[in-house]
Amino acid sequence: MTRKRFSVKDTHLQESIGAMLQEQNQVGEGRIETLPLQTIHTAEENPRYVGRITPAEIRDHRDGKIDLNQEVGDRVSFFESVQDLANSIARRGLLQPIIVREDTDGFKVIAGERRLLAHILLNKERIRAVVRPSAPEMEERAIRLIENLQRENLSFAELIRGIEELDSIFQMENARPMDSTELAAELHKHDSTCRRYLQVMRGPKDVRQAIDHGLITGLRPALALVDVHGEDERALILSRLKGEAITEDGIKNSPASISPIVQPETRRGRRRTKVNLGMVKNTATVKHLIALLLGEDQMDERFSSLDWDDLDQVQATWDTIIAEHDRSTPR
Amino acid sequence: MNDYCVITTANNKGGVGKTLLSKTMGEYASIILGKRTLLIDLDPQTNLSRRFIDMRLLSDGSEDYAPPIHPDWSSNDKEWDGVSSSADIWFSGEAIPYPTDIKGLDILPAHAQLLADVELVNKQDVYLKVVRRLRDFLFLPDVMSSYDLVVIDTRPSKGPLTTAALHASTHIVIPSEMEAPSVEGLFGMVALRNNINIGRSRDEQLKIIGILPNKLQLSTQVHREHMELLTSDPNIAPYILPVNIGYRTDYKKSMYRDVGSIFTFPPSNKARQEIQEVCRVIFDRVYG
Repeated sequence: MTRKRFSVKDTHLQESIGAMLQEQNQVGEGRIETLPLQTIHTAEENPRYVGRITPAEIRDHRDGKIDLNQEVGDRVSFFESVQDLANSIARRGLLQPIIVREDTDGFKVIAGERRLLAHILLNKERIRAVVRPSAPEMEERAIRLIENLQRENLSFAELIRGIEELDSIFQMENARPMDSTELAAELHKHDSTCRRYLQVMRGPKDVRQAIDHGLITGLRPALALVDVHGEDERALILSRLKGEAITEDGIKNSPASISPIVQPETRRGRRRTKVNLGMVKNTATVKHLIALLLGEDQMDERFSSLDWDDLDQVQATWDTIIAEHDRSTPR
Repeated sequence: MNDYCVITTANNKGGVGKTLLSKTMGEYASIILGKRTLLIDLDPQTNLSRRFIDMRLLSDGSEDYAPPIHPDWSSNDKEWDGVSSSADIWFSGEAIPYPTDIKGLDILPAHAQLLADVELVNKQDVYLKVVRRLRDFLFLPDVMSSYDLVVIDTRPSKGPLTTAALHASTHIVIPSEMEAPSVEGLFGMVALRNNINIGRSRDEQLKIIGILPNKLQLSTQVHREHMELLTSDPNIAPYILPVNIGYRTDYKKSMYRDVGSIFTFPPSNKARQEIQEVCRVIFDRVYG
């Protein structure tokens, strides 16, 4: 039997999606390159492995020049962990490129020191790496971006994308996301506006997609959609509004926003079987309601002895009246 | 034009009978209708795959399943490691279906870890490529001439894999239990389908075969109430199929690997009769 073998390799999709899948976990930007190992040096200030194992020592280990019996415990386990990683790389390949930054004499490792050492152990010549631009270059990019963002004629999608890029540069420098005050300082806009931009920028993915596709072109409708809980409900709103310009009112008035059936929050648990008539502090309200239910003429007759200031008495009376009324009213 | 069809079984809530339905549709199409059928398992739980081939438990402590060595592989084959899975559609771009014990029925099994990787995709440009890739694959002339029908089993989510399946499909069938979570899932599936159709021409619209009530016990009040709720909703009512799958132990039995197809059960078997009727209605709608 001839085996059925199907291949999409030669279609218009030139790039290997597999490679992109492996790279897409990288935060921030950079270009992917295959770098010669000798151009990469490990970062002296790397807090994790300071003083442990250097590339030179791994080379000695590879060449059998290090006697592990002479080593202390955590150095031995580090050698072993590099060996394990090397085995895995030999078997499955390098799943995630290391991250380096360009500097004056080559590239400095930001993340992936162990993967680099494993490559040395495997006697490989090159390693795949995400090359981040040097620090001054990042600053220049941030400045260019901010100048762009201050232009008036940006589309909403461009604005949100720009803010996202600015945030990712900020995160690389500061290891935390940007807050609204910091964004406000860069954009010269009001703090509360910036808070809303960030809310939309970090909001649900489907809202971001709708913005990127140009379905939502302003802050107010974007916020209204962010406020709709549940991906299903948002999807339904977007599909029902297709072809129309999406506005804040359009979202709020969409059947999906108001139809109880697509708001599972209100339908969780048991079905509602009772209506709570609420709570009042003023007993005159109770007196008034009873009078409306029974008619004024009944009041003196039935409640002449009731002390309308005694909350317990009023409560008991109300309970009786409302129960009577509920029983006697046809459904 | 031939009647090549791609049917996806989907509901973004779990445990609603997707795998049972995918398995039975595949068997019905190949055994009863004589169609050359390809099953594709896109669920990292690999449930459908384990019904048809002896999946291999990975020895890395992950308890994950991966496909076994392909029966046609020989150690002389240096260009292939002998294993193929549905995830290869995305990773290597090349996939080699496994034959099952049933004539005319092949399966592209799931690879738990690799599929889980695909499901993680979230970057916009990669996401779009992932979502389109399955369609490119299933509409290769080679695939279309080798099979009359493709049935895709999905995982309970609306992630890239399910979206890719719907993008690649001509039809969708939605099994649902008549209980709140799976009923809520229906609205999501209908919305997702509407979104997909925005990008399709009039004659290429993704058709909903229907919503199939599963494990239905009309003696149970909550099931009755949900049926009433659905039949009164104008977005949902037209899609509810006039047949359903009841709660029967024979369905569980038919899911054991060594029991074989439910269509080998005696014709008098109630479960077989019921699901055969379900399949008849489904394929009448597809080919009708």
